[in-house]
Amino acid sequence: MGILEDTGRFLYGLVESAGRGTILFLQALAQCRYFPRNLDKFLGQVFVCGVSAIPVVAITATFTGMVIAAQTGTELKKYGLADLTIGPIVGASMCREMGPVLTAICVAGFVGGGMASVIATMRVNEEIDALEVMSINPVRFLVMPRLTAMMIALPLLTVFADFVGILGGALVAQFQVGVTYFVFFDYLKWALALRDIAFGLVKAWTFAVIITMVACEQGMSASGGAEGVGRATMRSVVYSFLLILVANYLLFSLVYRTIFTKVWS
Amino acid sequence: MGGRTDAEKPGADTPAIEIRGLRKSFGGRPVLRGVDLVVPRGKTVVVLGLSGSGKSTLLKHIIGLLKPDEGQILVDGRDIARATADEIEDLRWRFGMVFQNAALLQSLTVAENVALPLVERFRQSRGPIRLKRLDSSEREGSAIDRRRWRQEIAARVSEKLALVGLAGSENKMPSELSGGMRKRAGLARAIVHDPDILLYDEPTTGLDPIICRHVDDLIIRMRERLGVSSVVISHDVEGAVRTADVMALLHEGVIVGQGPPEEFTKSPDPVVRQFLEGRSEGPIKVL
Repeated sequence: MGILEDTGRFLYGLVESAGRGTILFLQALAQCRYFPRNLDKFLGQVFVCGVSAIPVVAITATFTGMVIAAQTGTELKKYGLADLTIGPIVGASMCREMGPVLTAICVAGFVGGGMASVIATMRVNEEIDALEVMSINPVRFLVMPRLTAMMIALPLLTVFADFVGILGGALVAQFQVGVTYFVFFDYLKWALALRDIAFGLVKAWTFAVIITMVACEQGMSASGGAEGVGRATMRSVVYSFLLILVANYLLFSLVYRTIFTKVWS
Repeated sequence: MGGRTDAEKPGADTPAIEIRGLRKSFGGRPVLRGVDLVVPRGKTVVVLGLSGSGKSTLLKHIIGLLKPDEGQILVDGRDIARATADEIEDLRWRFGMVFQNAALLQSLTVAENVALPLVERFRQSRGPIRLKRLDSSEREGSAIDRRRWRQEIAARVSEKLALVGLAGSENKMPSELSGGMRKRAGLARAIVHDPDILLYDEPTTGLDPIICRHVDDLIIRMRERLGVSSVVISHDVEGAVRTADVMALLHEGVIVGQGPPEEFTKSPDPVVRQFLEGRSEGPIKVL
């Protein structure tokens, strides 16, 4: 009974957070008309969301590309298919799946958690109340710059992750599987479609909205001192992970298999 | 900016704030049970009460951070409880608020914190921003020149910091300030746009007696030099007697006694007497 109750409470919290995050997203979109006058906040957040996450994303993507090449390459080599397929497999896996999802997971933990804790601390210290009292809209001041920055930074990080992941895969193909760079990239170019990269970017934009909105919503609704800040941070990371995985499946089923394969065939 | 014509402006006899029958419950638990309070223009009203008596809730209603279940909160004759979001934003520009923990933004310097209301107002509005001068009783004295706004705001920030005794602290971070300095920086931020009404949430809580006295002097100076109407939430009786034009006691969600300090301190009401004398026995149940 306890487990069922806990699961129900957790799912209720997840759905409630998604709902409040959706409302916050609409409010942030409405505040985008003030974007040109808040460029400094936007640029500061681009650094926080993008530049600071580069080392983590680079390491994760490189080793992911390497492990895909190592796992598939050694198996396919047995059947003499490594030359033909290792490049396309690494490329498609990175651009369509691993690049966007792993980058989003890294950023949700690394940046989203930080974002939630900063806003939650501001909430419990009455800094957000102070903004409202000063006639400063907290959504305009805190959420809109973070949302716009993340929507620029995450797709760029995803392209970067795709690139270094493919490079990592090419290294393993050359030195461990015995497929030369020339063969790896030749078949990769032949097989990798523009729609795979575009689909990866659509995913990245969706994940950017999820990460920012969950983090900001959890931060804005935090209460209860230091414990509340910790709870908001933890929930932000866990809810983001789950919503990213759910959205990833839905995007493949509803968007890629319908729009992308038909329009881009 | 003000959104009102001269004909609509409140008269000198209109109270700065009038609260009528304010009721508020949280989760079925009543916190305010029908508060009636008048803040005359240019006067300081100190609302005393035990911790958890609803004082901060009352303050959050006055500034429009909370909506009442019942009752009216009239600011210059306009009901903030029924105002639209734009009207609330406009009304809030007439307020300055000093938070219990100062609520300075930790990522900004003292000067950036103090300048924040003006900087953000400049960024989001295209119209002129008119502010009264410190030495003038006229509300709309000088307009900040849009071409030189950064320099004008910096000068204003230095002026306000000097007024609260924090000259030279412009580039310090809030974490480098003591509790009393943070409160004074919070006060400088609250007065940077020359508000008509100042709200103080427990301004002397957690401060040593000398700093308490200094903060009390600042509250008096704000009234005398800027002519602002003030609401002070506190449980410091000594400070209240020094600063208040009107003292009031909030107990169990209602105002049980109010009047000028000389009358209030002689009140025969047993609840007021117990609070003033700080006795644990009496009609106020501590546990």
